[in-house]
Amino acid sequence: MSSPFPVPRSPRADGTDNGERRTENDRWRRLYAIVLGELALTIAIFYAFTKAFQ
Amino acid sequence: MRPIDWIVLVATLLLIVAYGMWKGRRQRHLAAYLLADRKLRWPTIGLSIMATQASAITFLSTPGQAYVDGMRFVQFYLGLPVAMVILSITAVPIFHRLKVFTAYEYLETRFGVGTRTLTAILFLIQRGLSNGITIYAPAVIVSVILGWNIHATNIIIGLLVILYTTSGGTKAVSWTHVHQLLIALGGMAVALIIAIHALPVGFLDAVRVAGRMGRLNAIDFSFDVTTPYNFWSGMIGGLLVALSYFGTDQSQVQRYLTGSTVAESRLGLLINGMVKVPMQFFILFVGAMVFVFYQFVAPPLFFNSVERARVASTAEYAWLEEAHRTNFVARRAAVLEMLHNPAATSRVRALQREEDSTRRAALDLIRKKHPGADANDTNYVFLTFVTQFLPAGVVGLVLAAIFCAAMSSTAAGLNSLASTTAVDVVKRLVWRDATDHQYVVVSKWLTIFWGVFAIAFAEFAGRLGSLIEAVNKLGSLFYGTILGIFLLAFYTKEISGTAASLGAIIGEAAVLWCAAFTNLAWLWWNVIGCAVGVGAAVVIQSVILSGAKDLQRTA
Repeated sequence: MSSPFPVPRSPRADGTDNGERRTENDRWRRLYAIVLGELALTIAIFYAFTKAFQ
Repeated sequence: MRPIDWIVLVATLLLIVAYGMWKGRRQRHLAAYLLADRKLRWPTIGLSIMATQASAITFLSTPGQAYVDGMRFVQFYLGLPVAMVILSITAVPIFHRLKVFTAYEYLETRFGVGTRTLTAILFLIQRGLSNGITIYAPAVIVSVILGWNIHATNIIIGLLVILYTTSGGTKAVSWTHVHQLLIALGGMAVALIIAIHALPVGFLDAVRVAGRMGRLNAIDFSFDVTTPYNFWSGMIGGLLVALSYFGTDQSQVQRYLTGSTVAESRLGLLINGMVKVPMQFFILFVGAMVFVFYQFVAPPLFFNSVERARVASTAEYAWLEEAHRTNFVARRAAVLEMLHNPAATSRVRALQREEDSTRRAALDLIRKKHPGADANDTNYVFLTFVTQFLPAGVVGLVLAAIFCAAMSSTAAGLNSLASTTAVDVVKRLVWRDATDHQYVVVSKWLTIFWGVFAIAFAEFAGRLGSLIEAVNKLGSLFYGTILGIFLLAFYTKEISGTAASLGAIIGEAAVLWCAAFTNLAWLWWNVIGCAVGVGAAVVIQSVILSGAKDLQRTA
């Protein structure tokens, strides 16, 4: 199954150059931000839901 | 149960077991048997992680929780996505780099064999007992509502799980998880659709009724350490529970150790972080709709029919039943009025408070007559609704969903107990020079042993009565302390095994003191155990042990 996310390769112990590693780290940071952003959005929606139907 | 329900239930369970045995055939090496050869992809890992956490009680008790207390329980999961990110950054690369079989194996590289063995044994005790409860909890609910023999139900669930977990190992467990979770969620979705369809009012009106009667209280920002579910307890206490559960509990760690790369394991955890909170919201929402349904169709005063039968003939219960009936008629009229006239909301709420106090009085009466009675009526709400109001075939599907959930978490438990015993005890301490194949055979026998242990404990659990809730809280007594040990291992270089162990003992003492002498909500025990354990270890290392070293050097 192909991934809907930008799937970075796992860190290598061998000679992956710094630029490649930085790009890989940036991709992971973006993915972590998506997860945390979704949490923030979920909390906001739940809060609006609670208030709207109270 | 009608014949079509039996067909759906039995066919689903047999197919799951057969699929597990087929998928996990020919596992000859330890890495294949315990870690599925480290070849799994992120969708399987993610669904397996979710299925491990979602036990039968999640699908039975959570809707009942919303029925009684509203949706605020969802806040318990708010810290989980943050924990998934933290573990993806820290634990996953470390576990992958060291190619460990268990989380506790890692502790030896950092603190020595003593800390590894101590933590592994703590896990075995806790998970060994809770696996029995995982089997017992749905069995007791099904036996009360459907009149099934509880011993037979315990044994059947246990044997089915032992069959495919022993023969197929982790590969069978992970692949069956995918189907079990999909069946469980499918069953809940069908139940929700039918519940909404059966309502005498439209969907939006139903949501309005639930909201105005306080059942859609998903977020509460007030800070109160004595209430278990608010935003803060979820974000702080829930975060630590999730860090500990997913980062140090082998039943979860083993799920993502099967990833073919760090990226696959990380994505498995992150997808869990993205899906889990909405999933719990959905299950709670089913309960909120069942609550609305029972505003128009008279619910029983007490859902647990076995406990109800014990007091049904008493004059006090007859009086409470009458008050309950009168209240229902008045409340139904007030709810219908509320839909057109929001001013009627206060009257509906007053009637609901009156009904709540009648239910509490019924519960007190049951407790007075039978001190060991099962007082947690929330567990019986959803299945009562399912068996009484859902059509033929769907009842079988929902029961299959509940059994699938019971089997998925039990299988992960057995799998992790066998792995920890085989790798951290047998291979490390008892029989160090066996061949890979011999360890596979040992692991299979250990799976059978822990399965039989779980069934035996499930049989004994009936005598625990209301202590079951206390056993469920057992995890929170230890999770914080264990997490503290792992945090010290991950993030510090100077702390020694001695300081970590002493810190853990002090942290555990603090948790036990809080549990015994304060009314601090149990989610906060995790915070106390972790913070005190880590703090004490740092102080011991920097003040006492470093001071002693300095003295030795000077001498």
